[in-house]
Parts: sequence; C-alpha cells; structure tokens
Amino acid sequence: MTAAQVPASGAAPAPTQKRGLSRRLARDLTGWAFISPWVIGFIGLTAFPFLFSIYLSLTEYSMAAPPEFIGLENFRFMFFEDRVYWTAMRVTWTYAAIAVPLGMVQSVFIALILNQRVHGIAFFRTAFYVPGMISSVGWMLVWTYLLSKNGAVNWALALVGIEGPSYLNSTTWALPALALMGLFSVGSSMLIMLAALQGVPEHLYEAVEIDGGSDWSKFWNVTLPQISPALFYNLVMSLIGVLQSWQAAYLMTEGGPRNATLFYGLHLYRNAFQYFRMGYACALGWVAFMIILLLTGVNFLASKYWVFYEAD
Amino acid sequence: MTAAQASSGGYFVSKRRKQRIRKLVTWAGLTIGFIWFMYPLLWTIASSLKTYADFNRIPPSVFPSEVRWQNYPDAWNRVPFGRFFINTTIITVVNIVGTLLSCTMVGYGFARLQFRGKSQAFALMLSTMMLPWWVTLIPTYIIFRQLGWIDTWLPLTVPAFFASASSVFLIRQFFLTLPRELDEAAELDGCSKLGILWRVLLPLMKPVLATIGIFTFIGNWNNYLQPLIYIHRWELFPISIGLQFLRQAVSALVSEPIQGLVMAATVFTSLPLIIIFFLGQNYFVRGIALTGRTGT
Repeated sequence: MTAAQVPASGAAPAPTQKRGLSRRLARDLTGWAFISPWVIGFIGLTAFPFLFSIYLSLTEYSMAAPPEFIGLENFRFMFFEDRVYWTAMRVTWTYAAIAVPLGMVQSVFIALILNQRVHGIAFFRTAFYVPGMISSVGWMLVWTYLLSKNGAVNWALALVGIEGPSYLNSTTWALPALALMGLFSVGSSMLIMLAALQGVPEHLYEAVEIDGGSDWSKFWNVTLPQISPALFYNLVMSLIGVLQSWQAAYLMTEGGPRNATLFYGLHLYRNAFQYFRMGYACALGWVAFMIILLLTGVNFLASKYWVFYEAD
Repeated sequence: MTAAQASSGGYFVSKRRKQRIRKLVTWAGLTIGFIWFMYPLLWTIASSLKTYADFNRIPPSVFPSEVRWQNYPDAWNRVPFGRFFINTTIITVVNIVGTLLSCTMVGYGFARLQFRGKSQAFALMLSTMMLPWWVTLIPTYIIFRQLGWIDTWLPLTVPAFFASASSVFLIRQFFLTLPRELDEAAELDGCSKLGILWRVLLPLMKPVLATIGIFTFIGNWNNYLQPLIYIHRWELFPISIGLQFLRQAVSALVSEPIQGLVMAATVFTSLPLIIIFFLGQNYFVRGIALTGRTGT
C-alpha cells in the first residue's frame, strides 16, 4: 500500500500528466510564481540595467541633458587618449601581480597549519579570521595610521633596525602597502582552502606513507593536486576582486601619490560620480567585464593542464 | 626476523620523532600567525586610548603612556553615531528579512517544483553571478534617480526583496539535502505548496537561514558604495559613511586632531560584527566552505 502511494521520486510526474493540460499549466504557474521575486529582480535590476549600460556606453551622458549617441567614441578615447586609463590598468595589474600570489600562498600556508590536529586549533582559526571582521571602512582608516611614518608597521621594522618610509606617501611603497593590508583579511580564502584540505581522502596520504614518501612528497603529490580546484577558484575570484576594487584607494590614498594607486575601479568611480561622465564610465565597466570574461575563459582552458578534478 | 623487528622498530621511532617535529612546526606556525594577525588589532585598540601627544610621539610606542577612555564617548558624540547605528540597524534588518523571504521562495521553487523553463532560468541565474557590479551600477543609479529614490533608503533595501543569486543557490543546495518524503507526506495530508514550505521545511532550515542572515548582516554593515552614491543627507547616513565623516571632523580640528577617536570608532562599530561572528561562527564557516563565497 505504501509502495503504491509513495512513488519513487523519478516517477513522480507520471500521475500529474494524466490530468492533462490545465494541470500542467497550473504547475508551471506555481513554479514561476515561486521564483517570481528573482524573475522581477532579474528583469529590473540585472537585464534592463545590463542592456541600458550597453546603450549608455555608446553615448555622452552627464545627467544634465539626455544621452547623446556618439558611437564608439568612448572606446576610442579610452584606448588612445585617456592616459589615466592606461595608468589605471598598469596599477591594477601590478597590484594583482603582488597581492594575488601573496594572498594565495598565505592562505594555503595558514590552512595547512590549521589542518593539523592539535589542541585549541578552533581558537586559532577564529583568531586568524577576526581581522577580517573589522568594519571595512574603519579598518582602512586605521591602516592609514598603521602605515604612516611612525605607525605600527615601522614600529615593528624598527625592532630589527629598519627605518621604514611613510608608505602611503611613497610612489614606490603605496601599492605594496595596500597589498600588505589585504593580507590581513584573507579569512574567506583561508576557509575555502581549509575545507579543500579536509576533503582530501586520508587513504591517499596513507598510500604515500606506505611507499615511504616524505611530508614534502605528500604535499607535492597529494595535497596540491587535490586542492587545485580550490586554488583555481581562489585565483579567479581574487583577480575579479582586484579588477573591481576601489574602496581602499578611494579612502586611503585618493589614488595617489601621483596616481600610484589609481585602481581601475577608482578611475571608473571618479568618471561616474565625480566627473559625471556616465557614458564613459559605462564603457569602462564594459571593458572590465570583457576582461573578466576573457580571464575566466583563459583560466578555464589553462585549468585543464593544472587543475585536478576527481572525474579525470 | 630480528632484522625485520629492528627495522620496524626504527620505523616507529622515526615516525614518532617525525610527529613530534611536525607538532613543533605547527605550534611555531600558529604562534607566528597569531602574532601576525593580532598585531594590527592590538595596535588599533591601544591607539584608541591614546592622547594626541601619545599618538604623535616619536619614536612611537605601542601602549599609551596615559589611558584616555574619553576617546570613546568623544568619538561617539563628535559625529552623531547614535543616529548612524540606528540607521544601519534598520537598513540591515530590512535587508535580512527581504533576503531570507525572497531567497527561500525562489530557492524552494528551484529545488522542489517542476515547471517548464526551470533549468534555463536556473542557468541564467547562475550566470548573473559572473557579472561585475560595475556594469549594472551606473544604469541602476540612473533608474533609481529617475524614481526619486536619492536620499532615501529605498536603493539600499528594495533590491533585497528580489533574491540574490548566491543566496538562492545556497538555499537550493540545502533544500536538496532534505528528504523529499517530507513534502510528499505533507502533500498527502492536503498541504499546499506554501504550507509545505512554511510548516514542514522552514523549521528545518535554521542552519542555512542563519548562514545567509550572517552574510547579509556583514555585507550591509560594511556597505559603503551604495550609501556613498545614494545618500547625501547626514540624518540618513549609515555607520560606514559615519566613520569617514568622523575622520574629516577629526582632521578639521586644528589644535589637537586626536586620531585616537577614529581608532575608537573603528572598535565600537566593529563590535556588532565581531559578536555576530562569534555567535554564528559555525554557520559562517560552513557557508563559506559551501559556496566559496568571500565575506565582503
């Protein structure tokens, strides 16, 4: 009796199909009704702005007068005349080249340590995460002091006899200093790494042990391939994050000194909300989007060669 | 045979030694990591109690020579932080309610209901996560401006009621782990779809709702860009703008710009975040591990 009443989930649609078209329509309507908040949001807050932004990127629009169609002029200006655009590109990629590898190495390192079985490990996991929980604007304002001439960083360096500069006022040091600050809120990528490490099957380590392999060979031959999907994910997400970031530069350095920290995101923000060149800012946004698409695509292709997925 | 015994004995000895070394390395790593991560925090808290003279002393010292608790009430009163806290709390609560309601509905639809176009809609939703927010920010700003929403909280709250892709994904994944027999039993008892969701499934969803609630809380407490572009009246500022406001107010003081005030404000505006983090740590950690989502 129960077997007849409770069909296996695979066969579930069978009884409803009998009732015909109206029943099916009702089912569709119920489904779409449930997802309607997303549908409305998608149309109003994603799809329409998305299309509108394509149009705006082809116009000159300062919000004082209606948008004026100028074709690809924004893009021509961007690539051939806007010197600041190329500066912003250079700054952003330089920052990515410094901050992304550092952040990834650090998160793997910490996750490896936190994955050991010692007492009180939960306490340390929490402690390492806490700096990432400081209110983000406050944290950036605090770091402007920590990075000043007689701030925390130079105090620590003075212990080993190094006299540090006023980092945020130095064209050389401002960008690395922001990367240093970024290292203190790596909590999320650390947790992703930790989850990946905990997902590595124990028997693989045992296999290396039986073969007499060292800890190093365990790391190199088991851990690294096994966590490579997480590494890949973190790499893509951090690159996308860097390409969009603007807040630290806006609050801490205002892009300076002499445009040394003029991030792409800050350039876009300024064009949109300080110079009110909305059309040009949309064009900048589209170029960022294209770069992200390209980057993700290239990473996916490359990942075939270095990311190890279970199914292979 | 003796040779075999000896070698196996040697194997265990070396293994024990190896474990001891590993433990030592682990503890060294934990200690270094602890100092590394705590140092800026300690400096922040110590500086929040410094006088103007202490803050600008050369060479600097970590600890204040004279503890100035007055920095805390001074920071609170220099700019109207009471107002900013109330504002941020209202915005955050509305966002949490909106996100949980809309994402539960949509997540349920995607996980449990059969309807035409579902898989295409789901794929479309996932693909929107790829879209950088810079692309939609400006048109959205123009639309909200046309609607007369500048200097209101509507741009900061209304979008929450239209389901965010990553939270829907998280909820859907959670629904998939709940046995379908629950729904079917309730359906046999004559429960409607909404009734199933509300009475049968919702009570089981505490973990995933807590996770999303915490993410939403953190995201809104820290949100800076949206308030910056949409809100220009100080009565409506959230604390993120309030902090920047305070820094300007402090540096405008000609005689003694006590930077300790900014540090103090950073400490007290972070307290709710840290409390939520400690209370909901397990949900939080699991959520990040599941979606690989970054906190901010």
